Amino acid sequence: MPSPAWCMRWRSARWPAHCGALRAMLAATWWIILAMTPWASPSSALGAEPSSRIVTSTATCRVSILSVRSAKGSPDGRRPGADGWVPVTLPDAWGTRWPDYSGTVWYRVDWQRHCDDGATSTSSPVALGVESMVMAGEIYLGDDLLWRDDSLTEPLSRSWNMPRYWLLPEAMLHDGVNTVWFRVIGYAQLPSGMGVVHLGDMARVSAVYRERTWHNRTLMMANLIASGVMAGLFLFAWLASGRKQSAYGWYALMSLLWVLFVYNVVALTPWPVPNTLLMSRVNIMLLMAYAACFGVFTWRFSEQHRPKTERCLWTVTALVIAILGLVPDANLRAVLNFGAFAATAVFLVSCLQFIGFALRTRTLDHLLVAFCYAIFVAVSVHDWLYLLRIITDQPGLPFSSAVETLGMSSILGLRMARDARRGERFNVELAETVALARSELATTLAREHALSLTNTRLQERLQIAHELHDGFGSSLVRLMAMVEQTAMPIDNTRFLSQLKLMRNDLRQTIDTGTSAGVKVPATPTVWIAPLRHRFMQLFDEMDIRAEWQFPQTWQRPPNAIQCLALTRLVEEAMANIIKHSRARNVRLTLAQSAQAVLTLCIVDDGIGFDVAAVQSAGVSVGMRSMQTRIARVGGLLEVSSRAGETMLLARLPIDALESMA
Amino acid sequence: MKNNNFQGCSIQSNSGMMGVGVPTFSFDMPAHSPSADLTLPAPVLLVEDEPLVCKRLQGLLAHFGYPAEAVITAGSLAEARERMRSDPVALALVDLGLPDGNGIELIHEMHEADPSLSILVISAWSTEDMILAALRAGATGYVLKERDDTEVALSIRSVLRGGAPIDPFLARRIIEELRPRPATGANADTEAESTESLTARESQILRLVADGLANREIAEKLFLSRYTVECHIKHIYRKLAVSSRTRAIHAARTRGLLD
Repeated sequence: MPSPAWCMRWRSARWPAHCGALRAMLAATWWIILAMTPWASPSSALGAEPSSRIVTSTATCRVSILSVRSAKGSPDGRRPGADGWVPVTLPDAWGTRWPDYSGTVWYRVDWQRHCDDGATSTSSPVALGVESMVMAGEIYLGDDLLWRDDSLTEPLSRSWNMPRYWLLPEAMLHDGVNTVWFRVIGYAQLPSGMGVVHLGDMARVSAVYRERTWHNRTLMMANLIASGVMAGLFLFAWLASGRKQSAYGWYALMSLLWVLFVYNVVALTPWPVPNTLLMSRVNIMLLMAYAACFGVFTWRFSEQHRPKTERCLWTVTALVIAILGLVPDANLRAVLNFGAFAATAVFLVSCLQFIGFALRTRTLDHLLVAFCYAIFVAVSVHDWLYLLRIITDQPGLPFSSAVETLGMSSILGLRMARDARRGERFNVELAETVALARSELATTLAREHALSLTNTRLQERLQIAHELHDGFGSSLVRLMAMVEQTAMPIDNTRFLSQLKLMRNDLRQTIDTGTSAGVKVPATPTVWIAPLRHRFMQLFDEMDIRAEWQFPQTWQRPPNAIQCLALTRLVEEAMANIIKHSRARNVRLTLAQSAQAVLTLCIVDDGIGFDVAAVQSAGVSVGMRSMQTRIARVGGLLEVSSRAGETMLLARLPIDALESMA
Repeated sequence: MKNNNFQGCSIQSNSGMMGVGVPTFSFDMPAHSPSADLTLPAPVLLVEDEPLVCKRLQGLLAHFGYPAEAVITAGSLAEARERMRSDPVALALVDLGLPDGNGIELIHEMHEADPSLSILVISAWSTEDMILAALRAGATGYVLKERDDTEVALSIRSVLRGGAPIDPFLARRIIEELRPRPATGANADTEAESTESLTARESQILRLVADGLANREIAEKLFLSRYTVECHIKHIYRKLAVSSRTRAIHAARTRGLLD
């Protein structure tokens, strides 16, 4: 009768190798529990027939097992004497027989070969296959050493998951009874003992050996590599997402922890840790961290916001890891079991919680994951029942991991496709938003422009109205007053001069209102050019010599209104010279001091006039009007006149702010 | 009798032509200028809808020596066209704002009929653009109604003497308008370019005008006769008219309306 415990150990050691990209955490937990805990192996298995686990040849020669026995050995490696041997069934874990015993245990298998007539020993050689030795050991055929682990002292070699195979040399065999001796070195804290031994026909034993190697070594190595690749892949996916997709980061960490954990299965030495027991501690620590990562990954993946639960989980994890690190070797076995249980519990609770969550959200990817998780749970229940021998079919773990791989990859595919669609949609929406914003901006700008245009027009209109009121209007009022207050009819010349003055005022208002009038000439030359040209034509006709002295540039340009005032001053002065002065020479000089006072000086050599008389008489309205005009732009006009020299001197301070206006 | 149609401006020519002598123009207020030394092209067409202004201009023309019968008046475009049909005119004074349309049309028609005709624009509160448009249509000078009689008389006199009144602002606008443009590549343009763009002398004169120098000053500065300077300015005006015409033709060609 087979030992289900060992059988399970083998099979459970096999299943993680089936995992693809994602492993079922559950399987790992099962595996570690079954592989490491002696309690899992029912004592009834010890009553099995010794030969039942020895494969015997049915060809020309048959190998029959006579006995399988075990005895404690001494550390020096010498075989025990005839005493103390007890019959055992392979696979055997000595912990149930000799609890708390660490050290060397010997196993001896006595066997005999029976050949049919005509069969030769060369046509059917005897092969020996060993599935495992926990932890390290050596094998003798009779008195001859057949094989030995690299290290039988700490750091101990790890042969617990290393199938081996030999052809027994014919020269070392005797007729009759032969004995194979196994020396095993192990610890009480671990399920130490001897795995299944195959003895007999070469073809059958090597087939079993190949099958074991494939499952226990090759598939595990493939699993390790695949997990490493996935860890790297998701690490970069996490970094590429700007560390925003935290689920990817947790998945990467989870995969990395799994890789380190699986390393235990394929390692042949305890490296990098110094001894076997420490390696067991580290291994369960990694398992606990893995289970915690699984929980966090599940929550982050399904976007459940559970900071408190996460903190709680990390606290528990830290606690378990601390206990694993601090407990003395004597109590290690219970602690290892406890750690494995805690990890399993975290794993199962995470699974069940998520299934409940997915049933509420009912989104496709959540339901897919929940389906996978449900399979893990179902398989674990199934395998528990199998373990407890309530049902008798095969363990379902390898099946669950295949399902999980398919499920998770389709979920990731779905998510990526959805993200890509979201990205495309976002681009379209962005383009639409930009277009909308642009058109809104254009409308706003157009409205603002129209508004400012209207404002400017209004301002200009107000300014024109103001000018009309101040200039043209006041002249008109003055003229009306003059007509009213004069008893006698006013003579035509005076009346005409008044009207001309009003015309000039109107001209100025119009010039101010047009854009050309508002612009300040770039240089004094440009400013004076029209006046100069206009009056020079007249002076030429009248044979008046005129001198125009103007600087090349403005020290500080006057504003448009000041310019116009000066223009009107020059106009008025020139008109007076032409009309009244009988001058032969005229000199106009414009200068700007360092203090930016603009000085305009107009001198002629005409007959002159009585300044005081002219001003009081009110005959020359032009003169007073000039003074008012200059005063209005902040300047001062001085007039002096005698025969042979009449001088108009206008001083106009140019304000820095004014010139900006 | 028509005004002179100059084909070129002789630099050496320092004397007046056709009886235009050195003026002894005493300028009192208002202008009562003897005009015995002036050749008076007759008859004069005066197109002005305001009777008072019309009378004022008639008075100014009378001072130059025009007899009343030598001045034909018209108050509208229609009337002006009718008058021209019966009497060929030698000088035209045209107001821009007329009851039945813009005087620029009339100027254009008259210039088309006789490119050598002297046309003086009488403008009220005209803008620079309006004056420039009139010059493009073929006017050879302009006077501003708002100005005193002295100045208006001077402008008319300048035209009678065969000159062309000009202003610094006009000079600047013309420099911009007629400055040699980079060849556009079209063959038809190259010939037009040469007749349209300003010569070096013309640009020089215009720049001095733009700086406010009077014709006498320019003449002194460039060692030319005053007459030559005025002749140049008349040429420039013609180029302006030609320029606007060739531009219209070019535009019509590119739109497929011609050829």
